[in-house]
Amino acid sequence: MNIEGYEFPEGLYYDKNHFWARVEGDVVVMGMNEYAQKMAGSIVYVGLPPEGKKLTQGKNFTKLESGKWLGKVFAVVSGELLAVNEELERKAKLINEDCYGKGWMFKIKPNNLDELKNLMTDPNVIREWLKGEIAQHGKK
Amino acid sequence: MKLSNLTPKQLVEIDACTRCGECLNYCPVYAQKKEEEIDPRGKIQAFKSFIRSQYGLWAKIFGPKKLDDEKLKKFSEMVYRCTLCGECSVSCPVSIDAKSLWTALRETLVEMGHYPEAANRVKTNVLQTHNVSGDENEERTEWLEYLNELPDHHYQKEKAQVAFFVGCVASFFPLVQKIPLAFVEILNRAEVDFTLLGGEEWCCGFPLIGAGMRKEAEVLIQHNLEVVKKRGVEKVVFACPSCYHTWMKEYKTDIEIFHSTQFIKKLINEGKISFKEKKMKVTYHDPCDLGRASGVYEAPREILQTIPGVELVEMEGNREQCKCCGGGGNLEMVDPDLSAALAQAKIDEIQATGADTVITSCQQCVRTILTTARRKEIPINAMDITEFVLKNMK
Repeated sequence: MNIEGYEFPEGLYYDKNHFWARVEGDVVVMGMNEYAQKMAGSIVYVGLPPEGKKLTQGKNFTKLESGKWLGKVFAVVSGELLAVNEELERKAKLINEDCYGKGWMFKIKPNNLDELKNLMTDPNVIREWLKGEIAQHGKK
Repeated sequence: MKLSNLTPKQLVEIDACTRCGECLNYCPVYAQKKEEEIDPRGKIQAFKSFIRSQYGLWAKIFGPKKLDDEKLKKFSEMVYRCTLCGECSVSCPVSIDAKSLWTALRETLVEMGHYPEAANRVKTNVLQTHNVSGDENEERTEWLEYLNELPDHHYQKEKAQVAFFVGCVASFFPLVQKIPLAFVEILNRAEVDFTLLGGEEWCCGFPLIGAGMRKEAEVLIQHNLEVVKKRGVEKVVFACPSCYHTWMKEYKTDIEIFHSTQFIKKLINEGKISFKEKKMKVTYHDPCDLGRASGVYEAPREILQTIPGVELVEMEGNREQCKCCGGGGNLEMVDPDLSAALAQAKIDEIQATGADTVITSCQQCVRTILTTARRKEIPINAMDITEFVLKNMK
């Protein structure tokens, strides 16, 4: 679905920190949404924490860089870091090129999938929230 | 316009500029912009005209002229579009210490309210959170989680002989956190009794001094001195050349200070570090604040030449003539495109050597070179000397 000029694919869950979640069996895959990657500009590095790290929904657990800009990455669900996208070590720009596909960031073993209910799926809810974000931060 | 931020020597230096234009051959910013107002000669002439309008003969007879806001704004843009690399200082035939002059001019401009908004953001971050990134200062050592083994004290001891002052960029910017990780491992393997300062480490003050806000840095200087004294530290070691240089110039202390390259060289001399063979051709980039500002040219080269099999090839501009990577003087926050243009020129120079990797001794140089290379997908390897040493240690 296209919301305010940005792609937000159906079937994903979206948090208000600009990350998405996708359920694959009993694993949650997460990445950055299109609005955020465009606002960040060319991403040059993502911190890839050690697997096994304990994560809490809504808490930051690593950072990414695009030039002078330093962004935080927030966990979409609580759980344990299962895997990182090793390709990003070599080419973090994959997040810019394909944020919902090859630019995925982390796989999480969730503590409780019910936490996904805290995320957004309704296009109207996403649209209202994104309008506020654009009003605050602008758009690219 | 007050001149109280300039020393009598600096006022004489302004008058001593003969407009010979030798600095134009060296200034990396002029090489990109080709604008007379931005080069050292142009800035000195512009400031001289301000002084004359305020303090010259006609000003004494008829009173000082009102300064033109537009001219001041333009002048400020020129003064802040500078990496403070200091190549103008070492190339000036009449030995004008231009680099010191630029920071004094920035102080004058700050007093007059003519400075970039970005400098205010840095000031707010540094004074409120005690680091440049604006993160919680307690997160300074989060990078430790990447170590395979972490002792119970998390390298934060109440007392230690040596303190490793990590610096803001290497603490908070993930692209260069491999540097403190490598240096901690080197110190550990060489059995050095060292500590990190954790959340008690505050910004050294360099970003404020570089922005023309020297007075604001005093609180940071006093804090950091108290923290190292409290821990009984005899030596402070820095992997960041700007922190090292700031301590050298601004911190009044008897505590010995070392850049990581000097400290690693010392450990090699003491037989605590030795290397396996590595067949590789490398070049070395002199960070401005380590080379021209602090006079450390040989320690990093001696380290590289100690590693069996490593062939060191110099860039056309090396040591005093090494070109800035574009990452200095807060230029990136004022004019990122200009900073990237300088980085591209540096990358071209690196590639011309045919080296496999460029080694440097500064997190900001690594960031600037790698950021431009990654954006443009240029296949170039750049790493800090601490990483290279750790990779090749026996």
